[in-house]
Amino acid sequence: MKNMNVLPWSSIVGQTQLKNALMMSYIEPRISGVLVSGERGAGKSTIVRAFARMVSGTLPVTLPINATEDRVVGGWDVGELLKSVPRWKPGLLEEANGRMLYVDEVNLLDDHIVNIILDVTASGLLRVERESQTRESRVRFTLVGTMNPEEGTLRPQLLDRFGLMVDVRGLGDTGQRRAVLDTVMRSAAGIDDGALAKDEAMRVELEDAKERAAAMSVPEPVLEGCVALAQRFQADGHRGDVTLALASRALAALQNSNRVTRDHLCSVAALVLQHRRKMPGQRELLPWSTEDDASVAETLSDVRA
Amino acid sequence: MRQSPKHFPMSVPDLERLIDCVAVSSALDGLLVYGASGSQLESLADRLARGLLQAGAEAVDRVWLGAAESEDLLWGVADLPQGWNGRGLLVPPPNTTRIVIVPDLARLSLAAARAGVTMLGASHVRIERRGRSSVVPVHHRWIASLPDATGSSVSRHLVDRFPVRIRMPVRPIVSRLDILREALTHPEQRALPGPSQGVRERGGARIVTDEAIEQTMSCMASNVSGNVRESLALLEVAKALALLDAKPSVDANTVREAARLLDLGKQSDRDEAAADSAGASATPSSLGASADFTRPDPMLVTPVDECGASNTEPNVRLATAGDALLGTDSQIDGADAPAGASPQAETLPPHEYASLRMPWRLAQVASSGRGTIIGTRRAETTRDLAIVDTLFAAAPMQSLRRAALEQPPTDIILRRSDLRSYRRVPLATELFVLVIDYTSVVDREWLDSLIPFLRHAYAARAKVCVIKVGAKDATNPLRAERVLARNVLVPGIAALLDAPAGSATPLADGLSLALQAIQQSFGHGRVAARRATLVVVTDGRGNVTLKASREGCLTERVGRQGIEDARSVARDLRALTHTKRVLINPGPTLLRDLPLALAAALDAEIVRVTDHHG
Repeated sequence: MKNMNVLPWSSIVGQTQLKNALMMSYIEPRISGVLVSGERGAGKSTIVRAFARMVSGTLPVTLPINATEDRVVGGWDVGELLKSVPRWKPGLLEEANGRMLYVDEVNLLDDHIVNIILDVTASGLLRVERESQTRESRVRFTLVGTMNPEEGTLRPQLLDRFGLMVDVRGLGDTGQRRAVLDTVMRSAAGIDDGALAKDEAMRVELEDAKERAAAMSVPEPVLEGCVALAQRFQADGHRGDVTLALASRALAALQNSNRVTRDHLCSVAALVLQHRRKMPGQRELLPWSTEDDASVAETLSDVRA
Repeated sequence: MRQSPKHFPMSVPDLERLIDCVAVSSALDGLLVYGASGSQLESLADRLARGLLQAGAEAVDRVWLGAAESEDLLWGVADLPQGWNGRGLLVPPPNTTRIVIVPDLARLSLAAARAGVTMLGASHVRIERRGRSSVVPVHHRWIASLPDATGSSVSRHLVDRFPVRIRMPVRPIVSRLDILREALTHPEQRALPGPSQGVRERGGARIVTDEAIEQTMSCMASNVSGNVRESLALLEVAKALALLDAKPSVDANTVREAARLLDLGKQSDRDEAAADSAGASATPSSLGASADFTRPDPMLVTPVDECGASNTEPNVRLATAGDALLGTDSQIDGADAPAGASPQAETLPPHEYASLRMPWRLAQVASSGRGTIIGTRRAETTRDLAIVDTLFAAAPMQSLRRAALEQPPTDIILRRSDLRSYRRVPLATELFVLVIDYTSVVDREWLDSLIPFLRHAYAARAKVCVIKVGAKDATNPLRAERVLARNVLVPGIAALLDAPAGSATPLADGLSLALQAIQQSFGHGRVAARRATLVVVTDGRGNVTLKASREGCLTERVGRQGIEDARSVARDLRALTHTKRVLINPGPTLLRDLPLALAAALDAEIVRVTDHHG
């Protein structure tokens, strides 16, 4: 349906896990992004846009799936060039510096654009060598992508760049679905219900949580738990370990806890590990299962924190 | 969401009402009509254009999208001098609402299909192409047709973006003389009225009552998927109906009427709504002459929870004004009509995997879809021009040329010698798919039979897709695995030919992956493969069902189902055109009929290794 207006964040019904993931990535930017995977009509894009507007007052920098390379990394301003004025036009990656870079239908993105994003997220450096120009700039952004898994999954390298992954499902609860209809219709009719004021209060809370997270240390047993989990689920490299720790701390700050505990680690395990597990070649991601939850609990059973 | 097949008595007045809803509601920006011909779509677009103008659009134009539209054609190339650049088929002039007509959604170019997913349901679209960066408001209505027979080849993701999905009403039996008279009538005289002039003045949002939302929930009670898009579409249609009927609010009856139009909800509710709208002449958009226009459907299935008699006899009457909307395609008749499942709620059968993605072969390819750009060269034709390089070539000469031609200093003057085109890596046009059932292989002799096909793949520079069935190193033994390679010389291919066998044989899954690979490589634009060779190495003994492979676990006894599933997929593979199919039976088998039956299902040439050596 037409997204004539971006719904206020406070009006979003359900989808608690996705909401938490987005808030954690804001509290701890080093988590570096959220991948939202889910079936059609589950409200993925709506929620991401609502979040961006809540935290920054504007919509996120959006990378369309048909963007050309010059607009991603930057290139000559063709209009000015035609007036014999050579002027460089920064690309979307520079525009997203310090902000959220949002890719709707990220699994439909051209592979060569994906490669560019991989390079930049890996190094934090955007280096452009094209059209007789050499340019370098430091860029860091929170990558948020939404995708419908019916259209295929992402390459493991790109999956790994998303700190967290949320598997969104449609709302099964009748009451929640009714609430969604009610919310959308009221919003379309211009009825506010004080949601924007609640959004502002939430933004202030998130800023406080950000400060708390920065001052919070992660206990040694929890760190050991992070490593044990990453090993148990055969996550390649160290990004999984690090993200587990960062996400646990962000969740603790979000919940206004004064320390990071095993429970926080348990809560973020699925978000961090489901897209980093070993998968059969060329297969879509398997959903996180109750067996996986049991594995997490078993692995962390000795953690005392 | 899956619903049992239902009767869908779509009539011309109902169709007109729905089109008027689409005209007055920007939220209803896509109308998908199953089984409509091109001329019928044009008639629908005529009606929609009038409706849009009466609903307040300043101007309306239309474009047709087919199989050849590229990204540049769709989005335009901005900032170039006048005459060089089109605005793009999807970038209408300011204050203009554009009707985008897609005569066959199944044949829509990949670029256009991706555009559809991006635009439908969006209020704005961001364009970041070739130096242009802009956010443009979406003022479109898409009208698309999907032939029923091709539904399975269209991305469900794309179909789901159309908020209104209906079947084309079947044309009544009319005399050829009437059709001839109608064809000779001037289009202006045939023009059908749109929604009443009062719609524009009535404008504004309708209030949606709690009862309306309750009724929506009731209508969508069988939707267990959690997809709220269909519920919202139903409410938007109801809002549009309230606007058309000058009702101040959307009540339960209006929702029931909307559900009836979309063939959603309970039959009893639809009957009630039909009774309510019996005096439809009072509605601004109805055409009284076209009532009582039910579709004859010999395949009618009446669900057990439905009540009321259904009319399976075709209605016979002369053509009326409403028939102009149906066009004059004589091939549309009741016998062609499919069973009447609700198109709004329909779940299409399993389809080509990842159909909206760039084909996998594009991993090495730029977005223009004609091979990786590896440089530029002087252009010999105007195809595939490298615009920036062309401008760079021309720039230094501008002051001289302007002075010589006395042109204004803002004009850029190009000469033929300035033109540059891209130099690209050539693309393979052939795909070689090799399905190896390792559990059927007893020695290496079958490799001799494979060599001619490998040689051909090498000579044709074919892309290679190897599908491993029953390999010992499979991550999940119930699933086949697919490995893609640029060509047969990739070192990993040799190792794949010699892998050890596991215990299970997910043959049906392997053939299903082969089907997807070929469909993907054929399906998309100018870079698609033109030919494929499929070689299946197996004795036909599949012992894992397709269901078990998809779920990744065995929950029931397999029996012969593994073999039957493999044959079923083989029959789908047989339907592929431009595909050579070969089955290699790798060794002595006690069940000689199995490979023969599979080869027959595939319509494949069969090569018996034992024959070669014995």
